[in-house]
Amino acid sequence: MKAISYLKTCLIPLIIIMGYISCEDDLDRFPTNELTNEKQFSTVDGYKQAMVSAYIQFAGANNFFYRDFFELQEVTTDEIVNTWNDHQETTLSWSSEHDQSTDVYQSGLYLITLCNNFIIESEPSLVASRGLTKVEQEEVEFFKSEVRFIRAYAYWMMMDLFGNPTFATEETLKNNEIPGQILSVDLFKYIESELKEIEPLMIDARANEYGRADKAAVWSLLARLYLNAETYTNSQKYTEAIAYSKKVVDAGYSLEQNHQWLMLGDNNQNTNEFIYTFNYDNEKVRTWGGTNTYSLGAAGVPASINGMSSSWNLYRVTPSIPALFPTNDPSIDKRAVFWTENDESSRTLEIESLSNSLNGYSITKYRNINRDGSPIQQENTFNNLSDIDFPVFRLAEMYLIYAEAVLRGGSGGDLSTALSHVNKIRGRAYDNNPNSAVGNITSSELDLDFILDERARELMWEGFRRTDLIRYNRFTTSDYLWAWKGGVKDGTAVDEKFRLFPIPITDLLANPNLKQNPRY
Amino acid sequence: MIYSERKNKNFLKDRIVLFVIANVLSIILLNAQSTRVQGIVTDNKTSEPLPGISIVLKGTTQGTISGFDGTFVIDSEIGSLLVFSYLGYKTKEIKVTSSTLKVTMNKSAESLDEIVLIGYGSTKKKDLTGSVTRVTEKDFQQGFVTNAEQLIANKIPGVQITPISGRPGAGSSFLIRGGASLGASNNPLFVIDGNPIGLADGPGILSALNPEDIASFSVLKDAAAAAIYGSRGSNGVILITTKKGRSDELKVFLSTKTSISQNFLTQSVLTGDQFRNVAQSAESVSGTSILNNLGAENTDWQDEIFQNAFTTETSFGISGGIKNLPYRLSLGYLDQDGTLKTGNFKRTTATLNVNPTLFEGHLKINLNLKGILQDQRIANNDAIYTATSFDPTQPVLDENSPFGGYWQYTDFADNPAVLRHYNPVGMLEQVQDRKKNLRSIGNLQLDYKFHFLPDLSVNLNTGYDIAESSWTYFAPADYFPANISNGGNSSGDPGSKTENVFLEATLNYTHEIKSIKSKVDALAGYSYNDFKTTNYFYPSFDVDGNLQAGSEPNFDFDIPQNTLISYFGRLIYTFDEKYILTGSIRTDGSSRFSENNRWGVFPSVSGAWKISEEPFLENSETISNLKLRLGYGVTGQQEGIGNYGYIPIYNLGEAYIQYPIGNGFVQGVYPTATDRNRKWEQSTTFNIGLDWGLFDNRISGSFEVYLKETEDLLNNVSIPSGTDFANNITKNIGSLENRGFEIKIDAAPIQSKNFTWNLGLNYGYNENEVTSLSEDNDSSVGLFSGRILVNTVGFQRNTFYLYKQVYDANGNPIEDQMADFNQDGTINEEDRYRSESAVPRHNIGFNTSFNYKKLTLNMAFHSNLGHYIFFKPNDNLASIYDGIFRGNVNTDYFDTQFTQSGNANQEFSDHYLQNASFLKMDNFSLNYNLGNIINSKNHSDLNLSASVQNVFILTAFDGGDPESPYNYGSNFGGNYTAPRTFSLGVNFNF
Repeated sequence: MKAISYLKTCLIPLIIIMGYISCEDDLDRFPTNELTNEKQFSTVDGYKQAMVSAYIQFAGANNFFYRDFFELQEVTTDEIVNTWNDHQETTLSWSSEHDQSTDVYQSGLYLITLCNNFIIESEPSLVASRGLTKVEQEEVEFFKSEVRFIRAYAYWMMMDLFGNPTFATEETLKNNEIPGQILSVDLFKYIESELKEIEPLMIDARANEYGRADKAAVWSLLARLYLNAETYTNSQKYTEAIAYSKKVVDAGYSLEQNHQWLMLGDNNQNTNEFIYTFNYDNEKVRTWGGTNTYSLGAAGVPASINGMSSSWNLYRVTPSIPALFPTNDPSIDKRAVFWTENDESSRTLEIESLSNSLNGYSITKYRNINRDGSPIQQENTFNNLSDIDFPVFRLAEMYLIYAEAVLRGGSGGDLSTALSHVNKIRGRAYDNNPNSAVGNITSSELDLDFILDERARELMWEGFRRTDLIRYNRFTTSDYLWAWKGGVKDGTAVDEKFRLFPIPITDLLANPNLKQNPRY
Repeated sequence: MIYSERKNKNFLKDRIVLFVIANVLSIILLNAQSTRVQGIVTDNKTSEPLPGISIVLKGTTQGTISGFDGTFVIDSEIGSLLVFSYLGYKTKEIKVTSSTLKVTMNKSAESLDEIVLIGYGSTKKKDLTGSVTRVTEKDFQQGFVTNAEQLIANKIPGVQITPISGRPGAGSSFLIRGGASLGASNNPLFVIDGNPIGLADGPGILSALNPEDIASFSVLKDAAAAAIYGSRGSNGVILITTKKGRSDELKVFLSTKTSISQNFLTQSVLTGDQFRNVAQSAESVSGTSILNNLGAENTDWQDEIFQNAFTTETSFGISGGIKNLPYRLSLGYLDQDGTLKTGNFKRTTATLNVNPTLFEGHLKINLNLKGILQDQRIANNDAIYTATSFDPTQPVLDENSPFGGYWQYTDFADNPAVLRHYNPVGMLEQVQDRKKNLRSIGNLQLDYKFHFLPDLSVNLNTGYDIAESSWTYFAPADYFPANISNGGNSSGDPGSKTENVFLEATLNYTHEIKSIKSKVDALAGYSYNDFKTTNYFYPSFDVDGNLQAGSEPNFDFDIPQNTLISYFGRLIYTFDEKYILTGSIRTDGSSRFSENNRWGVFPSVSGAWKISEEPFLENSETISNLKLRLGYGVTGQQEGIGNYGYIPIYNLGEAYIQYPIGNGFVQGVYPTATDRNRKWEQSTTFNIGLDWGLFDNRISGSFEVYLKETEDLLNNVSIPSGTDFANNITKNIGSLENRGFEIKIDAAPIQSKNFTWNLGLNYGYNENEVTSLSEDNDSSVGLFSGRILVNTVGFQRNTFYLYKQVYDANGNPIEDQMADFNQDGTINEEDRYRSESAVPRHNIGFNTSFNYKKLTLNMAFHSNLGHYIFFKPNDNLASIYDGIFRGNVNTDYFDTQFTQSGNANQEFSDHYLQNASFLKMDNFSLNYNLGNIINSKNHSDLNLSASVQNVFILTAFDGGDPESPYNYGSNFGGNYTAPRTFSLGVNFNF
């Protein structure tokens, strides 16, 4: 009796305990709404979604990646002074602790890591094992090539800004390695080989969906890369620059009729000229890292003109920029879209104070309206989101690359074609007609200085200026001065080290493989 | 009279029940040859019956426990000795002379027989081997306490309790012995009446309790004590018991308190006149026009946002027994206004405790139920910082303003999101942000002592912590920041649901072997804890009920969940009542780690030697208590690291970004950063403690020295770009050592009939050192927390890493000029140096009370020394001219005269590092006990009290409250600081 009740009283709790032991399965918890990679990549749509995610990061549609890149390229030059920042960029005086370049570095490598991950997941044998059909597998192959293109572009940005950045690949990610540092000259080779490898694997020029890269995008990046090869590698590649810009030109693109149509809310029509674009939509894409920044940023421009809300009073141009044009208004060169506010005589051409948003003209290049001047309804609660797509590559740049590369002695092109390319740009600028002779120049006027100025006129506020000035060796030297360069109003030369941005301190500290750029 | 009648009636009933039970039991259980002794135990002073007295037949293991009315029945023999013992009473031995016994017991002067809770059990204070500090009602902070943790703030050495905000209901942060972790949680585990609360909530639970309900706190500080809680014990364990009812007496208490609170710390910023003056300099520095944008007012924005805040609290409780069913029921209602305008917190609590004992003490049942309704209107904290920076020349109200009459930067009316700087009074008065939370905590404990083997008992403890919250948010269409979105009117009901459950089962075996003077307590247990919350997501609407674009959530809800399963055991061996050895082991499995790293093992060993009971001290007049304790233990940590960090997963991107591709739109999906190898953070603690008492414990105290080594520290660290999908990840990064000692002294220098004086002093010293970092590199700077704190091997954790400011001949800082430490001609990060640590080294608490007849005066102080804060106010003219609004500056500008924006290095200057050591007078209270006002004997008392909290702060720090929380060591002066409170209270018990 005793033993039995003893056993009983002991057993009951024991049974309860045993019951709970089986609950050790409860230690396998999984989040409610998230997916494993196996789930995410079980369909072609899942692959596409992951690829588009890379495009989203690339376009700054949910970050400041491209906006920061844009500002590093422009605010460091004569094209923009920024009212509301600390002017380190304008005065070329940043230290090794520099927020904006740090952000580009980190978000750039984030984008690269995202691409590396996609490349791992789109390994053909892996894709096949996930039960995708043959046709779907081929589609994933295109996705993979496009992602490799995005990665190559991101690495080009890193090379241009930082020279010798962290070098992360699908291999370092797969092996869980801390990536090393790559020298500019080696990174150049890597980008070149990547682009050449994917060139045949991409969808044909002008055959892909709007907003996705194609063969022409690959050629365009190669052309830009070769044009600047000397900056990155100390050796010239102008012949290659001619070859690849020519490939783009020959792919059937043509200039749009009106330069002022280029950066409007309905510029997704500009498919004749645009090679690859970042896409924005005021209802669907909520970001402050896109073209709305360039539109709202222009100082003083009212809502009635920019098509959004009143200006953020960020960006003005130094007096060097209006000086490139015949007049301060579009009466002759239609690209001279300066916002002068002369009616109130409150805005000045000269910049006495970097912090005074009324010092310096701004421009009305980016406007969120339609070609016909009709407004675009803001379908959001902010009134300042944009529909203006951003052309990462457009034909005019390829024309100018061709011309410059010919002038710099590259072979495979000729001066008359170069002149004709430039005059198409001039004809459109002066007469809204690429074939017009108005504004055309003669072959004797076509020299490297002219090209640099023409690039400033044509590609103003499109993120090129710093790279151009470095290529012409005018960025840090006394060969060319502009207002507030080096922190003085008349401009002064600065240390050559400013051709590159510093490797961010956080990365230097976190990654033992990195060395700082010289003299930071 | 009513009372005693009831008592008699109950007494009779009890007798009958007991008689029956006793008879039945004695037939079953006991040797029929013995004599049945019946009796009653009472207090010798009050003559109240004493329940729960342990009565043991000396030399045997036979015994019983007195009933609710003090009666007991035990079988013994005439002439044998019965040992009566009870917490707080002197143990008494009585010779059995007849079959009825009347025993009176004396309260012991010393507290060594106090029962102290340890994990999964309790022990007498004198038998403790680990570092456990107990604070009971009599030592609680006096005055009006709205949050339970304030009862014990600064009472325990090595335990820092700091209000996280002056916001009503905000609660406090806890840091025990400097904290074991860098990046994981430093919250201790809270166990309330045996119900372990999820650490994620942590101290939040305390603001949900009615302080009136709390009976005691036990704080387990060292690993020897806390290791029984394994992975949850790294930062110590705080065991809280609430008051229980006793069936022998009907008690009613009623208390009401009221207080008024004032914000007493503000930032010293420019007045309107000063601002207009300084703006002239800003104009000339910047070349921009500022003066013509200024107003003519002298608005003190900080004054405008704060108010005198009233608080009232009423508690009512009743305890007693219904047919031997002891119960306690209490209700509390708190209505507290914030000193920040419009903030309000209402808390209604109901607590029920039922703890019957059945089968002659063999089955103890303890049921605890708590219900809490919190209803608050949240005042936007951002208003505080905004008030320190808002243009003082502008008025609060502007009759021409279309924005509810509040002055605003109307140029930004069409894109206020860019401005992010709004009239702070409008932020408070125009927005209604409300949150309701209904919560219930309950557990049922069954403690069954086996009839056939009373040494063995089984304890089942199961309970829940469930909550449901809802929220509403309303901003009118003319609220400036929301004017372009037509205001906001959203709600979430339910907002979230929490369903935490646990089950614990333990087997306890206690056996005394007299022949070898040994006693063994063994425990084996199992514990299952599941923490589950469902968060619901809702779109936003404007005031007309239209959906706001882009606000649709990706998912309707999310259910974060984690589970912890544990097995544990403990053995306490006592030899000759002088030598005590305790060993415990626990293994925990956590769902937060991958299968390979899931289980952790946490052992501990500790011993105590009661030196004062050795023959050479036994009869000492001076030394009344001396005990040496040694302890070693391992605890773990898995809080503060997220639930699923080891699983590589993909998250859907924001719903408001649908990227246009071709003719369609695609939403993104992103992999998360993953540390597949994440494992337990483990702390090993060595503790030496000495408990002592002199002169019959008139002076007593303890001294402890400890060393705590934490390995595999979990910390959120910067990882090299390109290695994962984030810039930061939480991973095991290295190890940390905490060393320190603690002193506690309690003394009663004067104890006379009419006058007593008590004082208590505690002091804790802690220093720590980062001993290794797994990814240390050549630069040897270490790992950053934020931008100015660094963790370097060989240095204190979170050490300030700054430039050395250069000063001019007058001792004023020269703008952006830093010392070139390595003299290489450039100022770069290599010129930064390691300064003080952000973790204070010395914590001191002091409290004293004077009692003269019915009047008691209490005072409590605390002080931190070696306390450093990086306080960087706006001291630069750039705040005025360089930005889209004209921000006010701190009067520090008059010293710095800084004018430039974009000072790259000034942000990291040691000029801003201040020694913020302080002395605070936390509490000053007067109590007057009117005693028995209704004319029944001894059973009522009326207490009147008046108190002041946060009486003063002595400090050289000029950024406000040195204990305000700050991020990564930085403070910009926007904190909601704990107010000064004056209160009055009436407490009535009968």
